[in-house]
Amino acid sequence: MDQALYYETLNNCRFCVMCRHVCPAGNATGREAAAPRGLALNIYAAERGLLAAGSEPHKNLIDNCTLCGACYESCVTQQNLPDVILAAREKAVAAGGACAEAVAVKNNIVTHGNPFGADVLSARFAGGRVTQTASVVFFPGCTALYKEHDVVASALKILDMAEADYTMLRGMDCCAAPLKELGFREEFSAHAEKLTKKIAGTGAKAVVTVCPTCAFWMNAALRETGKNDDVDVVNFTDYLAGLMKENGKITVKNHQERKIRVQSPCRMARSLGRFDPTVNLLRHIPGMAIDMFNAENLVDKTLRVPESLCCGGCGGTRFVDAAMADTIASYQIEHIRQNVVEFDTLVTTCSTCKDQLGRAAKGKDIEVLHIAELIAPMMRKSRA
Amino acid sequence: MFNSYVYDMLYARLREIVGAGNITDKQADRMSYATDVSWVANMWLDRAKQPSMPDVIVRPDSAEQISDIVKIATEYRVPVIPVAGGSGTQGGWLAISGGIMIDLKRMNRIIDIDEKSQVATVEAGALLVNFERALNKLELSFPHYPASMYSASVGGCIAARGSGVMSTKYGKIEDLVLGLDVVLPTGNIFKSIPVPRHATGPETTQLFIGSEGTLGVITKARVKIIQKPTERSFRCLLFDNLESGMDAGRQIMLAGLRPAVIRLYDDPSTKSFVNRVLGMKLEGNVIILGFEGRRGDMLEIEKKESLKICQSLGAKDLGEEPGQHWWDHRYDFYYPPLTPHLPTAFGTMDSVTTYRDILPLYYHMKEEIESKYATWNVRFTGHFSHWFAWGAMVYARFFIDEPPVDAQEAGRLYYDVWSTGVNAALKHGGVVNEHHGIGLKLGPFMRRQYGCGFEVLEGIKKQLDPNNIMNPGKLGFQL
Repeated sequence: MDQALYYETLNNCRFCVMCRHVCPAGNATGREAAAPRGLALNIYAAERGLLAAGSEPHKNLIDNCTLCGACYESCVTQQNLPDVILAAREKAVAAGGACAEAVAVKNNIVTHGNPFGADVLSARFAGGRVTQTASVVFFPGCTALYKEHDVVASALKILDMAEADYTMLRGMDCCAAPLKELGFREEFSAHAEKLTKKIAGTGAKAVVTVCPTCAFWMNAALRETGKNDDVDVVNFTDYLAGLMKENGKITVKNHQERKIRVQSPCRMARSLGRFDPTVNLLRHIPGMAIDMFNAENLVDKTLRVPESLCCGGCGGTRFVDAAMADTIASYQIEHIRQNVVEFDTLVTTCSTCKDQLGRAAKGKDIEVLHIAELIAPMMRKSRA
Repeated sequence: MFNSYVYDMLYARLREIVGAGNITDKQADRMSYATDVSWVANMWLDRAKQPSMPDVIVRPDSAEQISDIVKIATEYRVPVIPVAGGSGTQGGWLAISGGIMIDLKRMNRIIDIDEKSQVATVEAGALLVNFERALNKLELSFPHYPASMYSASVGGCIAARGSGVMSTKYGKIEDLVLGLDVVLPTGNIFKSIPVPRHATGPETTQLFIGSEGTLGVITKARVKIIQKPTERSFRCLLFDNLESGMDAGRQIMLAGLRPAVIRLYDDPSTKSFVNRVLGMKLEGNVIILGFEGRRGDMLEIEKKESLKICQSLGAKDLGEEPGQHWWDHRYDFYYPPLTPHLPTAFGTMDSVTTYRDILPLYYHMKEEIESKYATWNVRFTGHFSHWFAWGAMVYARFFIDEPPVDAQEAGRLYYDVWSTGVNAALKHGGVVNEHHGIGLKLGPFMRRQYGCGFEVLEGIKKQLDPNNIMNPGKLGFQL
């Protein structure tokens, strides 16, 4: 990040309280340190030597911010504090101040190829196809592969039924977003290089993922290496919409009695600028009735808050402070329940949101489904 | 604070009350509570000076927990500073002697909505924006709309005796509060009698409105709410002199008309602020009128009569759009860098007095500040935006773009400017402050305001808080 802009943004945010009410971390915890002003103030204080030894600025920046971008979206003067926080994490890492928890995640990705430290999995994933070349790479991402098997299975079912020409990548489970988001810039670049080569080796011109974080950071990685400018990483919802429209081999019809509410993941909405592709997709399914967002009847429009709700899973926070991430997820489930019309199914296009919100919603009469899980049972082969 | 083990025992005892997840003394947390939005506190940090910080922050969930906390604070003679939104401009939440900061934001529940009486009971830590959003869903509204709408809490507005942009119709916060629960420094919980109009002794609820955490911790409020307005309309007009604009506002109020908004800008404000917001090139004195309610016919009559008064005094009608634009963008100019920001030294000297004295107060304050601080190239602007049946509030602001680089020198100059402004206000029957409160910044001027009568407030403070643990050093009370 340009240093002049970094300090300009920091100076604008360190004493400003205009966006605290939209910050998921700040709202969920009520802690000032987990709200945009507190974060900016602490970055500033650390740089000016105002924090005592042992204050762990790197850990603080990860624990307290998911980089969801709600502050940026709501800011009238568009102060990009998430970019500043990311740059500050990179600075802390470069200065040797990475916190132990983040270093452990980095080591897991470097050593095992995933942030969980589990054995490499994707090549052995049941039902997944690995071919030499294909027109599309299906890249589930680490959360889906290791924690949300039903999401992967559903996505594979759809791809198979549509007779998509896809392959998975052998031995490459993670997009390395945690490296980037935790501030390990060099390691992210090295991983990006490897990932780019793997994708290039397939000849594919598109990568499909069930995780918008993967889509966002893989696109960034591809552009960073400059070697795969013609390859596009797309989210599963967009790919699925294309299949339903153009593939001709599948039909989708809803037979289920569900009251659906769509969650708009922050990486999809804000990072990728795609606010409602899931809603648009569902609207075109026969028999489907959904209520996307509660049409708020506010006394004036200045009271509106961003509609995209963070699940707590982004920004590396869940790897360093899982309790904090879960607190945000629980808060959001309660927030959604209190603020929208009645629903029983929350649909997301993000595997991480599915994981986070799914756990938070347990025992609350809400089922959280990834779009692939919702659509797969509705899909049939088209008649020739 | 004191001996480490004594502190550890204090910490552990507080933790027993609020739970491990709701207490912290981490550096990052303490730093986050080191400043509100007061200029001096921000400037101090900007110059890389070590700020005053609380020793420990607790986040209780009930008045009972707060009661236990203040009892422990009394045992240890440790300051207690209640906070929530952090949007105060007067340094009211600064932990100038360290101590226990009680963050009330977990106490954000709406306890009861009595739609028949249009009365809501809400916890003090609820942010105004969230409270209003929740009410709007029920076709209701809490008509208190300060510039700090997004960040201020219900309790904070009450503690600071604040005001909103529609106070001309609905009153200041003290007009909207019917009752309070307050945890007293002894740990006992004061509960207002059920209604505020009575002959059951003095009205004690009002004693705590504006007490800024010095007399206890406000935990719950019963407030007046309204049915959400369905009709809203604005009008913008231009006067060529301030006197005519002031007289228009006065006549509107004395005629019994109650616009929700009357904002009259002096010429420097018209040129520096209004033109920037509206994208116009006006000179003179803009006035924005706003009307709202649920009856379009009544609104039209109120608007028509108000416009008639303005036009009889020579106002040029600029139409509806500029007023609507102001309403839609009224918070924009609180976002940095659009809002005044460092290194500029700035302050808002809001005062209020009768119609007879308000313009003499404004002119005298302007002349005093512009002449005394001419070498600092001070700028002075003002507008009048809270109107009563007897007088109006002046929102006077000063700006010094290049204050001293040295933090202490800057702080001393800042005090001098305030002292000058307050003296001018008091000379013309005004008050030290109209709606931002006193806090740390204006504490020294309380005796100028009350004279020996300040002993009334001091006596109450000593009786309620004999150990001086509640937000010491604020509101002019001793450190």
